[in-house]
Amino acid sequence: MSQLGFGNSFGFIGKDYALVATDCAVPRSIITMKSYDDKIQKVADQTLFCLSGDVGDRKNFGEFIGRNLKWYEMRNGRKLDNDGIANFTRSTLAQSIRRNPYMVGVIQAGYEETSGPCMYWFDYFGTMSTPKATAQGLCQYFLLSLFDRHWKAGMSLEEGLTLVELCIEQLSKRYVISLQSFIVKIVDKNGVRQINLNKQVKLEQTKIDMDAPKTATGIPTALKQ
Amino acid sequence: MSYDRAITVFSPDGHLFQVEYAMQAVKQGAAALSIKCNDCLIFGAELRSPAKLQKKSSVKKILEIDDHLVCVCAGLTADARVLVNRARVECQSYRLQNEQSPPPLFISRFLAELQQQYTVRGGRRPFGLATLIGGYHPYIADEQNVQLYQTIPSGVYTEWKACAIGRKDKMLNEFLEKHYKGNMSEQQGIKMAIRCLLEVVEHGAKNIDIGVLVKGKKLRKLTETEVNNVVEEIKKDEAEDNDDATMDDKKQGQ
Repeated sequence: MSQLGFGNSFGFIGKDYALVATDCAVPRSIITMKSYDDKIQKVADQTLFCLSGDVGDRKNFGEFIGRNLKWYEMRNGRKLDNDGIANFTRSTLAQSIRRNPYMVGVIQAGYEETSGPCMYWFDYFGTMSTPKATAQGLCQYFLLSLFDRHWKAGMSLEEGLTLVELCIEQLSKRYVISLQSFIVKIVDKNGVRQINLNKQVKLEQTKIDMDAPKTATGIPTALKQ
Repeated sequence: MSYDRAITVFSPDGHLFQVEYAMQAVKQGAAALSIKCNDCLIFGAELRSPAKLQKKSSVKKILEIDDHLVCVCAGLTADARVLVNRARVECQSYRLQNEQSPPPLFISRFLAELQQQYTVRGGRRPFGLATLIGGYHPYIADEQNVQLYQTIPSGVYTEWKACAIGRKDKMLNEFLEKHYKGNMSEQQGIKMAIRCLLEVVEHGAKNIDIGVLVKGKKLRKLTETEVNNVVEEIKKDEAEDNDDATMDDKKQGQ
């Protein structure tokens, strides 16, 4: 069964950086095969791919794009810029959909000297869009509306990380699958680096008082905090 | 002499004339050399004097195949471009499969096999170029780490400490044999490469291209000023040697 929906990643653009975050688990039906898997691949000096989907496909696709970009650099003496990388990725996905589809979803985060941070979203059909804040997988249902509310242009790194923690908190609260750990990486003018989140985000368990008076439907009225 | 028309025909005395003519084409090409030093590889190439309106930097003789592999060719430049592009694809393909940088042996063997393929079947001519491929082995430690290979149109590849190809290669190789020392530093290597090329190059410094490959860094090309400085140094050394020689003559005369 395709694992596309289970990849949970999101990303957004800040003032002078582009950020992606993803959960680290590799599930296979009810089992977590691997609990810490880095799904964010560095594909060029200032480009990150956050890939979700089947393990084989996403590793293969990320490496394939990365190697082709290196070949382009060797052959032409210059690196391909983020826009070029995005369009190359898109056309690779579009060409392979009717042959051997890569069942991956990609968020590309990049930084350009001239135009600053950039972000691209791809699905396995070869759809490409250029959002400011986006997500892949089932967590889209929770996070896109969160971004509508809380993302604003020109956020500093601290504000961005606060937003990341907000997203993770929301997912722990409402998403049925428990996501144990997240990896966060950013691209800025210095290149690619991993960020360690300060807060440990944990779900506050709401306790239900079974002795409290029940309503007609049988649900206790008082929820113990 | 009808044995030299087709590539697939041996002559009675066992020669493949087309291949040998291809090697002649190499001898017409601009000189190129490479020297293995203690911790780096020096590549040198003769640049033919560009036309006045031509942009000099568009003529590339020292070509990068990968971050750790560099190649310099002598012979037909167009063939060089095609061959090096094939090598570049092969490098990335190797990296994709094995998650490692390809050893210089692998790529030189690949190019040699490619050149050999064109000597077997009819209808296609051999590549008219010889290459010097040098680089770092990904996991052999220390001394054996830097490797330099030569490939020729017949498809033979051999490993060298220092080698010259192209125009007047016999003279340049004799020079290298005479003066090469193991464990040279980068500066000594550059000086030797330039001294060697000055033997054949017309007009001196501005027709010499030097590249240095140090482990972990990308190929570094010397600027014209740097090359000029070394040329000046060499001229000074030669002048001193001449002075010493004349001094000895004077002493003997006395």
